[in-house]
Formats: sequence, structure tokens, C-alpha cells
Amino acid sequence: MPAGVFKERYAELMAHLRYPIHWAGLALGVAVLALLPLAGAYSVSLAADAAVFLIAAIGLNITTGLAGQISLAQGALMGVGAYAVAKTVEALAAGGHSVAGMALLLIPAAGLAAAAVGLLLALPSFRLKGYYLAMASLAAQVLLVYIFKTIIDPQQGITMPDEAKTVADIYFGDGYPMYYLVIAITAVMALAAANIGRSSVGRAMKAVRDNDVSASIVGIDVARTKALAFALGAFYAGIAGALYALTNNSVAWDAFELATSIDLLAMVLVGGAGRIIWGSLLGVLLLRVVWSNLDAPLSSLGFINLVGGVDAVKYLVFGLLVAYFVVKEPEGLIGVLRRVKEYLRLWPFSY
Amino acid sequence: MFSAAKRHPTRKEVVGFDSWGRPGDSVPGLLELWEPSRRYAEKPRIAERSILIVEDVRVEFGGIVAVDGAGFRLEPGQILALIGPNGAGKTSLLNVVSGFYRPRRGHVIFMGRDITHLPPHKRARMGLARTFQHSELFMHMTVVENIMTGLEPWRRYSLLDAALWTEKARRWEEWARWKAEQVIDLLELHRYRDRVVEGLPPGIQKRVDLARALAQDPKVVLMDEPMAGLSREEKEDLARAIVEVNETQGVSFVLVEHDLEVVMDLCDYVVAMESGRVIAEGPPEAVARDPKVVEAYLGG
Ligand SMILES: Nc1ncnc2c1ncn2[C@@H]1O[C@H](COP(=O)(O)OP(=O)(O)OP(=O)(O)O)[C@@H](O)[C@H]1O
Ligand SMILES: [Mg+2]
Repeated sequence: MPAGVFKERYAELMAHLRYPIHWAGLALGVAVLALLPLAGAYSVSLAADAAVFLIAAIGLNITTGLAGQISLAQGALMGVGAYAVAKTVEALAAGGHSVAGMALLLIPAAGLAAAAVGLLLALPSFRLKGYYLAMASLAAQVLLVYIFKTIIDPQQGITMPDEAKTVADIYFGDGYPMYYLVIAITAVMALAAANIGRSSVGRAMKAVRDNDVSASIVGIDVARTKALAFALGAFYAGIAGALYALTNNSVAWDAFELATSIDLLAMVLVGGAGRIIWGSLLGVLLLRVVWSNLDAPLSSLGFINLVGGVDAVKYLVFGLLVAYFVVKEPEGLIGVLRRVKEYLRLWPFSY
Repeated sequence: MFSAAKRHPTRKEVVGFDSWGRPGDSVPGLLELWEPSRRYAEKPRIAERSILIVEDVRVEFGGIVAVDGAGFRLEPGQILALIGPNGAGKTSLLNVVSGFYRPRRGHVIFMGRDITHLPPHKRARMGLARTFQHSELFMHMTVVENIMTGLEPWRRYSLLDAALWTEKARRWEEWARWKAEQVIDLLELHRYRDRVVEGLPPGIQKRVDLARALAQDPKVVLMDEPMAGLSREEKEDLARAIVEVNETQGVSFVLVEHDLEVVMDLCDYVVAMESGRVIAEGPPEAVARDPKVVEAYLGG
């Protein structure tokens, strides 16, 4: 914290942007995001993909990081959001109705649909904790994918007509319009999450995470708070799923399998559980953006095939990375960064 | 909780129990009689107006009977001590009062309402606060956040207000922070305000625990061994804070305490337990002289 800057009112302490450096960071971020399309189509689709996963990771960070309710079903909940949009559009088209702009109009509904399923997932949390709760959410994940496979999407792949992604003659399925829309929605969702995190609702969730016995003794309705944490996290997953449906050619269940849930949980744990914005962002940047661009550099290494190939090495490193952070750095990358910052602040007089 | 309006309720507000749980003026002149004094002997006992009545409670764990027909009555403004050797069932009895244990038998009546089957958070919302024998704070939250969690039941804005950070949410949060600052002032926690609880010295943690309880505007605070593990100085500080809250706001206390010196100094009334039963009760001096109590303490 910059020395010598004192805040007079509590409102000033609560503000997200408290110091000039925060404003500078915001300006820089906006500039980079606004100009990114100049770097070409690949960076646009990469950034949009990262944004979609950032929304889902923020949601999981609310459920798991803020409220302490471990969930291995965030991927399937994304699927609920994606299928809510794709299936509705498919059904409308089959019924001969106009689907113009529906893929966009249905985004909030996708969030609500996933939130409803998230509420069901909260039920085991009233009884179970820790590993047992993780197992219950794992079961839900598997069950949901099974439902996708057998009932909702037996053909493996629903493609929405371009018309559904078009509003006022602008096609939001790819390119700049898609990019700016996704980034704008992500920014709003992130800001809302940050606001909830610093509110009394967020404090109640943290209280339940730290000590649910004490939470009830200060008058917090623990069951209700858990239910809210699950529903809110699932709402974010649903929005992310709807954006996935918008930005990809087709919706298929293999994108929402257990591996996706594990990836999301890893992003939260490695980035920083409980740090809902910056922790999630770091996790997504490392485990989604950097990760998906490692294949080419890795395969150019001559010895890579001697140790089992690119995929094997990536799995191994992923596992080690997650294990390391869970055991050694429970605060995640955010915690590491904070220590670096402290060190630099004191440098050269470190002690 | 510390606003002047609340500290001096007008006579009109006071019907039955007022917002502080003090007896009302349905009996003419009762409010004048009632004064949150520290000495039980000087206070009129208003039997039917006891703010907390714990009756004939029995708690069993498997074969073990932890509480066997114990109970007590707490008068408004009173500081009551619950003493007894290790394993006497004091904590178990408090757990029944705050709602963690379902008693096999017996009742808990708070402000004239039977709360035996109410979940803990609803009891807390009625004004029943609690501190713990072993620290049960929110370890990864700061001191001020810990204190502010006690205000969540009084949140007056919706989730949507929170997400959009509307004027309503901002105003409430400012109010909540102001409330927390009052308690921080009272318990002199300024230096620790923004420190994460984990790693704070035990004495400070005990104070934070009390602060969190007081932030809820309680009518009754149950404290399980608040003085355990504190230095002499810390004990005096904590005792002073308890007396101040008791005298200025009329909050009643139930203290489970081993330190008999503290009990004699602080309490109006003492209930002594052994093996789940009440073996003696009355003013501190009388209980301290009671042969059964002397034996329980020396024998135990
Ligand atoms: N959860 C539990 N399960 C089984 N037995 C218990 C449980 N809690 C308490 N007991 C038993 O009940 C009896 C009373 O315990 P309790 O903790 O209420 O005593 P206490 O008076 O608070 O003692 P101390 O002064 O040591 O805190 C003890 O014999 C204890 O072993
Ligand atoms: Mg005890």
C-alpha cells in the first residue's frame, strides 16, 4: 500500500480503485483489450476463449474459494448453460419459429437454468464436507454428462443457425463483434463478482468457509449461504456456457466432461482460491492461455518423444503444479505475487 | 448498539422486554427499580421476568450423561457465573442454550419464548450471542471482517444491490463498518483492525471473539472460559470490557469460568455444577463457602 495515502471515509476504503496505480492499471487493461483485435484473428479467438473460461472460473471461485464448498461439476454446469441455449434454439427452429438473435437473448436464461441445477447440487453440502462433498459433486458431474449424452445431445453436436447469432445484421458468432461482446459481458460479470465478494453476502460466505459453527452463532443461515454460493457459481457457469455456445460452431458434450471441471478447479487453486477476480484471472492465463500454446514449442524439443510425448509431459506437469500449489502455496499465484511485491517494496532493505 | 436513542429507551418503547431485553413497565415503576448493577444482592429479583430460563436439561452422548437435569435462570442485566470442575457439563449446557445440542429433556426459554428447538442462527438473531472456549473465529478473515459478519442478519440490501453496488448497499456497508468501529473502540482493537486473525495472540483472539458477539447487539452473551490462558493484565482488560457493556447497555452475561477470583469480582450470581448437576447456587460469597462446592473443587 503506498505510504502516506490516508483514507478519510470508509467508502473510500471500500472502493475498487483506491490509488492512482489502480486507475493506471485499468486504463492499460482497457487499452490492451480494445486494441487486441489488431493482433489478428487468432488472438481474438484465444482471448474470447479465455474470457469464457474466466467467467466459469470466477463462478467456481465463489463456490469453492469464497464459500469453501468444493465442486467438481463446474464443467457440466457450463454444459447446462450451453445446451439451454442450443436446445432452445433448435426447438424453436424445429417449430418453425424465428430464432433471430436468440443465441444472445437466451444468455441470461442460460445462467438461470444452470443456477437452478446448482441449487440441487447444494443439497449434499448441507450434510457433507470436504472429500465427501467433492465426491457428491463428482457424481453430479458424471450424471449430467450422461444426461447430455443420452437425452439431450445423442448425435454429439448441436449447431445453431447463423441467424440465431445475428442481431441488427451484425453477426456475433466470431470476429470483432463477438470479441467485444464477450469481453464486455466478462467485465460486467467480474465487477459484479468483486462487488458481491466485498459485500456482507461475501463475508457471510467466507465465514461459512472458515468456520460454519461460528457462522451460525453469529446468526448466519449456513444452509442458505451454501445454497446461494452454489447457485451463484452455477449462474456464472451457465453464462460461460451460453457464451461458449455463441463462440463455437457447435455444442457437444465432450467439452463439458470431467476434465473441464478439473481444469477449472485447478485454475482456481493455482491462481488463488478466494481471490475471485485476480486469482481466477491468473489461473486462466496460466492453465488455459499459456497451456494451449505450449504444444508447438514443446514438440520442437528433440527429447520430448523420449519422455512420452507432449501430452504426457503436459499431464505430468499439470499434476505436479496443482499438487505443489495445494500443498505449498494455498494462496496460489496471487500469494506468490504478493510476496514478490512485498519484497520489491522493501528492497534493497529486505529483512 | 451504542446510539443514544437506544441506550435510553423512552418509556413507550418499553413494553414487555425492550430491545435490550430489559424488563418492561407492565408492572408500574419497574423500569425505575431495574438498574443494571453488578451486585445481585442489591437487585430485586423479578422471577417471572428472567430473560433466560434453562430448565432441567439432560444431554447424553452414547452412554455418557454430560448434563443431568441442570438449569439456571438469568435475570436481565445480571452477570451469572457457571462454575464446576472439568467435565462437569458446563460447555454442554451452553451448547444446549445456543442450539448445537438437542437436549434429551428440558427447555430453554429466552425472552419468554421456548427456543429449545430453534436452530442456532435463529437464536442468535433473537439476541443470544456466544463466545467459545477454544477460538472459533474466522481465521482467514481480518479482525474487522470478523466483527462485521455479526451484522449479516441485519443486511438490508439484496444480492442484486450487492452485485451492482448500489447506493443502498454502500450506505449499509458504511453503517456496518461504523458499528464495527464502535466495538473496536470499546475493546481497544484498533491496532489489529486489519490484521488477519490467524496468528494473533490468544488474548487478542478472545477479545475479537467478544467483539464479534457484541456487534450483534446481543441481549445475552454466553462466554465459555473467556479468561482461560490470558495474562493477568489481559484478564483485567477483558473483565473491564464485560462490566462496561453490562453497565452501560444492560447486556446480561453467562460466564463459564474457572478463575474464582474473576467470578467473585465480576458476577452477581453463581451456579455451581458437578457431574451434570447443579450442586449449589446463590450469591458468590455464599456459593464459595458451600461445603459441596469446596469439596468438588478440592476433590476434582
Ligand atoms: N461431543 C461429545 N461427545 C462425547 N462426549 C462428550 C462430548 N462433549 C462432552 N462430552 C463429555 O461430556 C462431559 C461434559 O463435558 P463438558 O465439555 O460439557 O464439560 P465442561 O464442564 O465444559 O468441562 P471443561 O471445564 O473441561 O471445559 C464430559 O465427560 C465429556 O467427556
Ligand atoms: Mg468446557
